[in-house]
Formats: sequence, C-alpha cells, structure tokens
Amino acid sequence: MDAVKDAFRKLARAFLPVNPFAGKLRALLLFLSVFIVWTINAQNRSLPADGFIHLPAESGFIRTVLLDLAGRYFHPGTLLLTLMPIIIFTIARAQAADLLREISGADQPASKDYLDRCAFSSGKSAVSVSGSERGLSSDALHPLRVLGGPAVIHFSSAEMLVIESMRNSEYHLISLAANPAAGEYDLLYGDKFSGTLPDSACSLRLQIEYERILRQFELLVDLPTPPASTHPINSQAINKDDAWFLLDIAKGGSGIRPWLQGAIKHAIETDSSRTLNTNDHKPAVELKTIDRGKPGHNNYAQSIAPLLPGRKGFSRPRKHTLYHRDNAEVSSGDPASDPMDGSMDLIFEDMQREMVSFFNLENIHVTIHSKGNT
Amino acid sequence: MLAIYAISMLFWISFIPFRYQGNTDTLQLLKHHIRHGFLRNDAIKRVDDGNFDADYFALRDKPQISALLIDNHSAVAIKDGASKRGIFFDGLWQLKPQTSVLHVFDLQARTFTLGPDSSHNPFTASGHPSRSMRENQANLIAADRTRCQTSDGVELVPVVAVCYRLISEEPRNKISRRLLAFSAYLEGEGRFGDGSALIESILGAHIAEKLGEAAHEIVWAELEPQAQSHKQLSALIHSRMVGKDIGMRNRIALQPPLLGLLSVTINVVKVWMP
Repeated sequence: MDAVKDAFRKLARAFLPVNPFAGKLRALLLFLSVFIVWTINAQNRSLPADGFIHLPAESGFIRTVLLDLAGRYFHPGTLLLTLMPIIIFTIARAQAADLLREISGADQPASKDYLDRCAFSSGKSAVSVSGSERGLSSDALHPLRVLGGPAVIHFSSAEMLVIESMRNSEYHLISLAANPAAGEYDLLYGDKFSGTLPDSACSLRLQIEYERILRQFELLVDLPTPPASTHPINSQAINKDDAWFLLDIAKGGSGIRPWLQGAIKHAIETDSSRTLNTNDHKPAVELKTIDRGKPGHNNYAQSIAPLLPGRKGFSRPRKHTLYHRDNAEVSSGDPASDPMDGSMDLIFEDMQREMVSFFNLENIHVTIHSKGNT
Repeated sequence: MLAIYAISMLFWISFIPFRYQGNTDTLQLLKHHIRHGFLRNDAIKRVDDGNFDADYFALRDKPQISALLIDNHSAVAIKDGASKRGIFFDGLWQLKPQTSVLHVFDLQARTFTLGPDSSHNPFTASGHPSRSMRENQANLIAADRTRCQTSDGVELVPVVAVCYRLISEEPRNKISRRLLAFSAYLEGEGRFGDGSALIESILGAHIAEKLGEAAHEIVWAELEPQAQSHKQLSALIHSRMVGKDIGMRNRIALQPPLLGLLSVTINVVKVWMP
C-alpha cells in the first residue's frame, strides 16, 4: 500500500507541478480536452442528429454541411454529454474548496481562488503588505498565512518578510536590496507567509515601576545582515525560534514581555546597590553589603534559639552559613559618591545571554538598554 | 461519471498543500472527504498554540474524528490501538480509528504566576475590599501553594512569576523521545489533556518545594530589620532558588520528569509576611 502511495505521490508531483507555466498549460489542455470530448460526442452517430435541425429539401452543399455540423454540435444530447464532465469537475472543485476550508479555516471564496491559482495559474494572487500593520493578520493576508503560495507579495524596502517553508519547516527573512524602494516576492507553492518586520532592527519598549519611579527599558533586536548580492531580493535562513521571537516583537511582545519584565525587575531589585544608567534619578534606598566578619551565630545560638519552640539545647554555631553574603543594610543613596559605573550594562549582558539561551536565538542579536526614568 | 468525479477530486485535492507536513496524502484526503465530507461531519480538529478547538474528551472518546491539523507551535502525544505511542508536530495527521490523543503541548514560551495576588497581603484578616468573596477565597488557596516557613517558624508567602518553554532546539526525534517519556509519566499518573496545564501543575509543585527549602535556610531572627522587607526577602529567596550550576541569574534547575524537557526562569515578585 505504501508503494502505491509513493507511486501516486511521485505521479502527482511529476504531472501536477504548481507554477505559472504548468498552470497555463493545464488550462489549455483542459480547454482542448473539452473541445475533443465535444467533437467525439458530436460525431457519435448514436445521437439522432436529424431530429434536431430539419434540412430544407433544396439547400447547397456548404449550407447542408454547416447545418449538419450545427445539428450535431449543438444537439441537446451532445451539449449535455459535454457539459456533464465540466459540471462534475466544477462540483469537485467546490467540494475540494470545502475540504480546504475545513482544514485551513480560510473562507470558501479564498479556498476556490487558491485552488484556481494552483491548478490553472488564474485568480487574484497579488497581495500588498506595505502599509499594513506589522505582524497583524488581515483578511487579505489570512489565506497566505494558512495556505501559502502561489502568490505575489508586494512590499517596500522598509520591511522584511518572514516566510515559512512547509517542505522542510525552514524559515527565511526576505528583504529588498537597497536600490528599489518597493519590490515583489513570488511566494511559492508550499511556502507560507508568516509576517512582516521593519527592516534592520526591531525594538520593544517596556516600563518598570520601582520605588514609585517608572523606568524605561528598550530591547533592540539586530536582524542578520544580508550577504552582499546583486540580486534585488535577499533571503536569509533563520531558525524557527528566531522567527517566533521576531514575530512576537512585531506583534507587541506578548510572549517575551513577561520574561523580560521579570528579569529586569529582579535585576533592579537585587542590584540596586548600583545606580541605574540615569542621571536624573536618586535611588530612594541603596543596599550596601556590610562586612560583618563572623555573622552573629553565637548571638542567635545563645539568646534566640533557646527561646524558640523545639530548639532548646541548640548551641552549635552554623559553620557554613551564607548570611554574611546575603545580609545587607539599607542606607541613603548618594549618587554623587556612587556614579554610574556600568554595572547595569554587565547585568544586561548577563540578561542578554540568558535571553539567547532561553529563547534559543541563533541568528539574531539582542541588546537591552536603559532609557531613563519618566 | 463516477470515474470522472473521482479523477476530478484527485486532481483538485492534490493541490491542497498539507501533503508536505504530517502523514496525509491525496488519497487519504479523498478517503476522508468520502467518509466525512458528504456527511458534513466536522471530523478535522485543529490544535493551535497548544489548544484544541474542541473539548479534549470529545476527541479522546470519539474515534470517528479522523484528522488533526496541528500548527507549528504545538505538539500532540498519541497512542494507537496497539498501545504504540507517537508525537505529532505540525501538519495534517490522519488518526486511525483506535488512536487516542493523550496530551497536547504548546512549544512556545509561557508564563504563569505562582502564589497569591501581589497587591494584597493574604495575611490580612479581611480580603481585598473590591473583590468578591470567591475571588478572595481563590487568592487564599493560591497563597497556600507557596506558603512556607523560615527555620525559626516565621510564615512567608512568596509570589513567583514563572516563564518556561519546552526545549526545542534539538533534533525533533530527541524532543519526541522526551515528550513521549513525559507523556508516559503523565499517563501513569492518570493525567491527560492540556499538557501546558499539567506542566504548570508539576512545575508549580516543584517551585513550591524549592521555595520551602529556600525559606527554611533563613533564620528570621538573624535578619537585620531592613532585610525583613519584602524586597530584600524576594532577593534572598530568589538567590537561593536559582541554579548556580546553570550560571544564569533567573534559571532554575529541575528534577525528573521535567529535567531536560523545560527551560525555566523565575522571578520572586514579592514575599508576603504576617
């Protein structure tokens, strides 16, 4: 059974490729097939041709031939036999479109249009993404997202397209070379349009409230530089996680924002002994680690522990305590004596590394910046 | 006429693009159409972002649902009549009559909060004034999940924001093996359905346990008064929970069955105290 399926698959790929030439050729073949079937039916002598058009007794040769042909070609029986396969073919198209609608969620006209494009290279195929809201779905783009090509996408040099190949689940960033302000990309059969990104860099701004002060941060994503090429359209492979990350940022960062917000907030809280990368803010409190030498275990063991329920008799000081690292004292902040020393940059570097690891980013570079307070 | 119809259907169906992903080919789609299309039976179910478009039990209990269309952010664990398991990733997948869906997973990063509301102290006798009694009760139940004690018996209720995602950078067969093992574990526990909810439940319990251990390392009486503020305590508990061996500021180490399956970062948002 698998051999039959393989053979059928190969047959379908060999005889039903999807490209403009094959589509137009199929349309021509269909037209010719209809004409051949019509002729065969017309020449079928079992149909009563003389019952349809009555030839006058006195008529010329040509008139007789033409009327005879008309009688045969336009005989209701001939037309019925010719139209029947076309009607069945059209019904099959509607049912295939229905199946496609059920599978993909695209509406019926879009499904029919898609099948026409694949089969006969006809139907509306050009879609413009220029000026559309980045990464957001629209009615025109929905079929391209769920069904994919064949289609032509018009876009400007200010944006990049993210394309997914259904054949191998690879993603590509498509951009225009510097010269043309706008161009078009042929979305092939089996490729899906995933979204658009602004060219060169994407960014995500977020505000974090700490000590009643709103601090602003920005995540900047540097997209991979396309290789030097004379071709007007550049294509760069990215991995699936890169694509998800970029598209999420283009949509407002609903997936990334909680991670980033949590990480930055934690960084501010735990590293607030350093001033933030701002000149206009005095931290309300500042943590300073105090060297206590041996922490107060004797104090605890001798005075507090005996008072606690179930702790009577405990007197051994803990040998390997961590408190000398974790205890901190709060004192008034003084930015003049603790100037910006780039500590947040180090934290951001850590965070960037962690972000790359967490989101499995391979081809894109992220940087986090502090943008001051509001 | 029937032959013309069959050839026409094969012609049109062969252009449906889903033959590239999943286990579906043109003949199977035609078979599906003959079995379900004429009956107008909604037999193809969709899995988008780790969510079914229908009730999970409807899918598990009704084998006439013949196909699953899975988006590229999801994975589905199945078991066939011979108890053979498998993981389906994106594409259109035909299900055999005896095949049942065990779990559905979201491959994207997800976030959840463990513990009570970070804006209202669960230790106060009255609940949040602007909330209903049911909401206040739910908040107390959420507080119980993270309630822990210092070594000298002071009760703390941390609030933790958790971000996690299934590790997916490896080849798919490796991810499949891990998902299969996790799915088998969940089945052994008698838990089916939404994999993300199940992961969050197990992960929540794991983090709550770590919170308990971290809190137990603290001796309240030894803390300076300023260090007893919720911010200082958050930082203290956070630093004790994150895996130092991983070398990340927010990443925590996991144990089986989540070990190797997830990448998890946490942020201790607040620590409530009496």
